[in-house]
Amino acid sequence: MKEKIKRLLLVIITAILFSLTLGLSILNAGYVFTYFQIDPETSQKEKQEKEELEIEVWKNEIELKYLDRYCQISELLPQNDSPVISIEVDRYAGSLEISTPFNPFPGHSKVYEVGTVTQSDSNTIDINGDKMKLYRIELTKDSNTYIEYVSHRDIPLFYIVKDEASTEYLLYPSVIQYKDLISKEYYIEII
Amino acid sequence: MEEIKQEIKNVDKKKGKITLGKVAIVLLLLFVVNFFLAFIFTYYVDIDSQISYKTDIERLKGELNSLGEELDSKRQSLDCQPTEEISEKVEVPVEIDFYSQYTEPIKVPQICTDCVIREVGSVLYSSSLPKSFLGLKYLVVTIEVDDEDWGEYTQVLRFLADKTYTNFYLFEDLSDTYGVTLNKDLKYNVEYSPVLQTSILPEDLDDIGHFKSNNNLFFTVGHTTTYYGSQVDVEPFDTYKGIKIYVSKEDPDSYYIKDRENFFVFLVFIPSIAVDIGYDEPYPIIWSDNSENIYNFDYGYDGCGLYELRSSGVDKSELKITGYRIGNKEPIYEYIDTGNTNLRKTYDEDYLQYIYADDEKDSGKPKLTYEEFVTLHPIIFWEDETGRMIMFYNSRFVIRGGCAKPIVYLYPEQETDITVKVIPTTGYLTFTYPKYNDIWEVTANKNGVIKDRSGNSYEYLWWESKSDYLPDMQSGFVVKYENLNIFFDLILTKAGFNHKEIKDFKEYWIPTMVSEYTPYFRISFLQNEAVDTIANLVINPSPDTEIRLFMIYDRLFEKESIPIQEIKTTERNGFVVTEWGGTRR
Repeated sequence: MKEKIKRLLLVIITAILFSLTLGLSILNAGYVFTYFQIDPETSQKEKQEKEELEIEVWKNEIELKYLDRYCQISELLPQNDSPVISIEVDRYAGSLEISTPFNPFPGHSKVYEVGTVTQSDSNTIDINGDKMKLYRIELTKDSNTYIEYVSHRDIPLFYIVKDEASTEYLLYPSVIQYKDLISKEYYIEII
Repeated sequence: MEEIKQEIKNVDKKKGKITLGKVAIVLLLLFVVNFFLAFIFTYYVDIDSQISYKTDIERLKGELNSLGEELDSKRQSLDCQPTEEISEKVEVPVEIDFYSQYTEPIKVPQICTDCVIREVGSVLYSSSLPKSFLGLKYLVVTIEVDDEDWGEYTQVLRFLADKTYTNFYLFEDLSDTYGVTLNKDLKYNVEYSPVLQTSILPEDLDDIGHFKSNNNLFFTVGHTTTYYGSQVDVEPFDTYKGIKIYVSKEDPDSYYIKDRENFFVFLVFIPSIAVDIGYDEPYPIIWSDNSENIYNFDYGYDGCGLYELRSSGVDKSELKITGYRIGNKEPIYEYIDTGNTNLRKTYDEDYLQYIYADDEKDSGKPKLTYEEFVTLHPIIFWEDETGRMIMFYNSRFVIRGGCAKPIVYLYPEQETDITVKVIPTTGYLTFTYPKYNDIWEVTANKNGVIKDRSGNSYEYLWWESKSDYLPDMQSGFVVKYENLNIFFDLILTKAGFNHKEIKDFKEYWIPTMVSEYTPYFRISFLQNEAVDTIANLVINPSPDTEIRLFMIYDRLFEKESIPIQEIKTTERNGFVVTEWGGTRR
């Protein structure tokens, strides 16, 4: 009887060892195959291309969502013919990343304080106290995709900067969440 | 010799035989070698730099192409109704003939599926009505929402609709359109905006201050709490001009009537002795020594929109008659025992704090002795028409108002024994958690976990107080109720609160404020040292950073503009203490 149990245990152990060894062998074979399949430089280029494509896909998806609610969003923003307030900005040499719930896509985008408003042709933008700042929302992996806004450093009221190169869909979904805090009367123009 | 030869043969046979044991040993060796190789590949070979991403790239290119096509067609088909047209909707005054009987819910999938829709009336004919309004039905839609940020609440929308449910007119002022809980294909008429001209309250209750019920009880209609029928467990209690008055089965001090839409509307009970008595006017009482009463009394308070009546449950045998109500000679009672704990507490806690208030009548005067205090009728009782003994506090000694829930978080740099004392500048503490014995003695760690001396853990220290002093705030914000969530995110982040604190703040205040059913709030904040006007925090050891914020809000029924308040940012360094609280003005 004892012999039988011993033998059974040996069969089980052998079977387990066989499965594990087979699994590891396949894994290692995969590693070896991969290692010799492609040279590191090509792989790196492909990886970069893949990441860029992923960003493009993400941007398109966001723009689609934005367009889905375009009519609603455009009602919350200044219209093309809305009055424009001209300002002058003393841009910083660098930029200061700020933490704000106004960041529309934490993880994908960052918000930077990029300058101080020094002149304004309207009392609406109060430049006394150097607290009226220019902020820039930009994609972490694509600094050319951005939008800028002006706000008092301590008072959450936002004025969107009119700039043809900026990407309006970056305001989605903040523009809906903050609709009472975004000026729909004026655009800002930086001169 | 033959035997030896046979034995050698057997041994040779055994040597050459592949046994299970041998197989296991070989497999074990192979396993170890493979494991070693896998380890090397995983940790020492940069396999990622050798991978081909061609498949992923092809897939992504495909996705990008189809997204690009979709984007192009979306961009070309953008067709918005010009804003001007929407803002120039014609307002149409509409009178409704409400049905007298309750109507069962109907199913209108064009509006929503997971909701309750009731047809409760129809449009009354008027020659000034546009043709398309004739024969329209008045629909009330309720949706039970369990929102991650807002908690549970009932969303109410009101429509006019035709018989075929193809034309919808939304009562914009009477509808909560926040969220996306309706059928997304539902299109309201953009030409006309109906404006309800008929009161939703029963006709006899419309525009009256207070009314006297059949059982001679006085009520006034509450404005803050409207429940959908199924949420209130009530039974008939009284009537007024045929309108049934209900009482809650769970809370005998909560009364309701049904409005014309069949919602329960909260009624505020007014003791008849207090009817028509102004805020500071004396109650009509003649005391036993024949002197006329000069005091006003407080029988409850309106804190955060919730009315509480101080029906005492005290036994008459503990009381003696000390006066009579002028007019009908109803007896006024007081405690027989002048050392009663309730009296003592009022003297020690309420009255003590009250004299510190800046602008109160007793400010600066020396405190009365306890013997003097008990002669001034600090607590009286009066039996209402239903036999309840209602307790009244002398307004000279007790303060009205309340609802704050300040929460204190402690984050020392390392586990530290800390004492925290709350000293209300005006008013008095009404609630503490954990139990406060004149001081909190706790241990806290850097993660904000607080332990009391018994080892019980808490996330924060919680205190509440009552005071009728609130500073005037000249600046602040006017916020639409649907923007409260994001508004608090902005302000509290700016002030320096962390994610958990902001979440706690919102979990408490948003449902409280939303239940006020008001479209806008005027919100101001006391920050840091300014909170000392409400209460001082004495903390030992002293924190390196103290971030305190106290919200004072008002309900607004229409948008108004006020100077914007500046919110200061405090950086969190070293031993951090944060505190948030608030109250409705």
